[in-house]
Amino acid sequence: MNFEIFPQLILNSLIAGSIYAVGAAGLAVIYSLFGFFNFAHGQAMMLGAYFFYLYNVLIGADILATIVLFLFSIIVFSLIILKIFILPFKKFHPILTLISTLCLGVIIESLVSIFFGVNVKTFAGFENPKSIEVFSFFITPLQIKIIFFSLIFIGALAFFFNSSSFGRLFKALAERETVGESLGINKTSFFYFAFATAILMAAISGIMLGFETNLQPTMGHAHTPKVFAAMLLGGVGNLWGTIVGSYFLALIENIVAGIDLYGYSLSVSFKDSVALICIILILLFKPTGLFRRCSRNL
Amino acid sequence: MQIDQKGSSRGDNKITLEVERLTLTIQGLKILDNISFKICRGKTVGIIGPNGSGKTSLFNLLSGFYTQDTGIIKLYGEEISNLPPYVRARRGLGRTFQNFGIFRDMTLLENIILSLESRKGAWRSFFPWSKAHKENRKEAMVILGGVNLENKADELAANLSGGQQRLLELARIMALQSQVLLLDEPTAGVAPKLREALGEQISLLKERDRTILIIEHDLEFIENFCDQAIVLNNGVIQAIASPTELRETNQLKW
Amino acid sequence: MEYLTHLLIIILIYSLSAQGFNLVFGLGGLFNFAHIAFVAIGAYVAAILSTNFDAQWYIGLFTAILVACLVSLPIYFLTFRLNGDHFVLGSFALSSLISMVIVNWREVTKGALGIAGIPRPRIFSIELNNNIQFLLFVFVLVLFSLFFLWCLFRSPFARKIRSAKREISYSLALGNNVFLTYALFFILSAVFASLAGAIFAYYLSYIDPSSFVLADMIFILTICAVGSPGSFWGCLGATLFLVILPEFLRFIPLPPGVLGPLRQIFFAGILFIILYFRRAKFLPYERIV
Repeated sequence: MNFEIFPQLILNSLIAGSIYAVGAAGLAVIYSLFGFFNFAHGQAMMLGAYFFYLYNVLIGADILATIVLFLFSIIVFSLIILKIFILPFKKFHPILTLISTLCLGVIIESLVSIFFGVNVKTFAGFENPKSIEVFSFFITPLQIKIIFFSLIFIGALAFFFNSSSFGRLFKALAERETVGESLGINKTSFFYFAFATAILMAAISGIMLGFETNLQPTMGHAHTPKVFAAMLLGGVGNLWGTIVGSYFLALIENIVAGIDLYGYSLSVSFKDSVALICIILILLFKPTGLFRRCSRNL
Repeated sequence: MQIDQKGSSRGDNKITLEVERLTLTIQGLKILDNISFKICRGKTVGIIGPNGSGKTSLFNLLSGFYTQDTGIIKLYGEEISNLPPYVRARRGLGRTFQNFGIFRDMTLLENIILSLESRKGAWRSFFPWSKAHKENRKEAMVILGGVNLENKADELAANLSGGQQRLLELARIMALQSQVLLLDEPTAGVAPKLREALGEQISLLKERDRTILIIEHDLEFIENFCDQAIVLNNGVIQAIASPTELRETNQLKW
Repeated sequence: MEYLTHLLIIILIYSLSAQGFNLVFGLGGLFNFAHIAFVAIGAYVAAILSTNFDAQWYIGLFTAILVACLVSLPIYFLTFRLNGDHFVLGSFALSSLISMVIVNWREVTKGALGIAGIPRPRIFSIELNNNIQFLLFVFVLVLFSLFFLWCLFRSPFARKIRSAKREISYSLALGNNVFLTYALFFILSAVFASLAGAIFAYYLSYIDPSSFVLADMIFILTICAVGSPGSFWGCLGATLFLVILPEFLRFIPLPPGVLGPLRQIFFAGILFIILYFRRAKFLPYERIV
């Protein structure tokens, strides 16, 4: 084994883990509050990247206008999804919402394929890809920004949902809907707000992903299992655990990819299977996740 | 503590159900504490107590849906403490549920046939045209007739009224021919007129020498049907006596 | 005429696959995402045996079914611990894993290139090159299978699993070994899925991983949903309907990059519409005694 690659490995894990963490945080919020697995989360990430591409590259707006347009689009989009694909099924078995989001994911992916084409797109011309050599590993300014912003977003989200008064409201509603309602909260607008935040998280992580790996309509599909694995590793509904789980997952992935398995070239394709195997193992042996601190609350 | 073993005209004092030092704790809360009793064959025993005293939990323990912390449960002298619910059911321990243990998505006839197939084995009547299946149908209709529900045989169980659902549940358990029956609040949610029909069915069961435990809040019902009653309060057995004794000594203070 | 024969064969193959899925989803209430993976396993085992080992069709079919049954058993253990939506997640992961194995195990499955040159079955030294002959062959196989399935849907086992679908406790209290019943239905579901896959491989003479993707899983789910989950005849009718319906899309002139995604939107849309309007009674009852 080549130990010299370790620092680079850690760094790659940091970057990938940040992306997963922001995405998985949104997933965890959705599961805590609404009680279902959002199978369209990967596609939401992809959509975030494509919206950014649309405004910044195709239309050529400047960075401020892009951000505003992007926020607007994502929020409108999330409200539409909530109203049509999720709320009608809320009273029934969560498997209905699951299948509904599955359909949604396929529809999103197909629409993007039709409107943008299946060719790979890039955010080229946006950032100078020259790497800086720090100690013995390479990092680009872009990647530094990714990690930095991820930490900010995750920190903000965690603070918001855990420590603020808003977070207490969230926990109340997540526990018992009718009781939370009787506290005088407007349940519907709260749901909209929380859901929009979650999808915004996914979209932002999609942008970061787009910077890292370029855009394709199918890029979301590969990431759905990863954010699920991150969430399951940390314990469903446990926001801090999800964040830790994301970095943990990224680390394992990179270790597996970096290992020379008797010269097998399977190591690269094995990377994607790590998340899948994690899902199966966790579900079989420890459905509550590796961290037992809080079982269901954020 | 032993339930009256002075023998009646029925039964031969053989102990069907025995429970020793049963304890159950759920999430730190002690539901049942050191419960012990023995019940003889053919006896009907009521279980009464305030809400939350652990009556249904006791049934869940007996039928295998909860696992006890300590203690032993014996059916006909054989220990069943660690057996899963379906094995206990096959050994003759039947039970009803508070929320009407019937299958609402299936018709009445299907509900009864399910019991018959469980008792006789599912392989015999696999083909819809087989003789065994036709016999099952006939027997199911007879059983439904016994509770006056045969005219609704092809209706979905969800369409029945509360009392009718309870009757269906009893019919289903009679089709199973369980020797030991745990009835969980059979009269709850049942209109008074149908209570008579319920009472008739329970009398029928007693005639056939079944051992019955009934959880009930309706004390008149207990007095009419039970030989003895166990008073459960806060997870502990407070008293065991015949219903009239209990009423007279005013044990039922809640 | 050729077109009609082709359609009929496809309908017959999908009817097996859909009914297999219907067993676990309609009767048992569990969405087994890995169903399409079993179809793929059936197809690949049959393909490998007949190309690499020159095996006869009945050996191919038999082994395909056997392998699928063996692989399906671990899924049964997933149900032991999980409720509905966790099970979907787990089977989704398993399905993706199997798909990955197929694409990457190039020595055996030739990866994304697929396996070509699968010979048609030989019956009494007649090779079924003519599609009409093949149609008859498939028809006989499917007829027997559907007959068995029809009996199964009305059998005591179906009643057992239907009782366990909504109210597991009541079913257990009745003496029903719920987990064994589910295991049985999983195995049967894998049997018919792999059978459909193997026949598919023999028909097309060429298979590759792109035939067994998410879109196909959604197609099967849509068939089952349209035909009322748990209904034997409903599922058959829905197969007929949903295989024929998109054929009309072929006659609309569309740019090449649009047809594929449009088909996917079409089926996802149908599934969603059915789900939306039937949401109160999505896993309904059946009067079968």
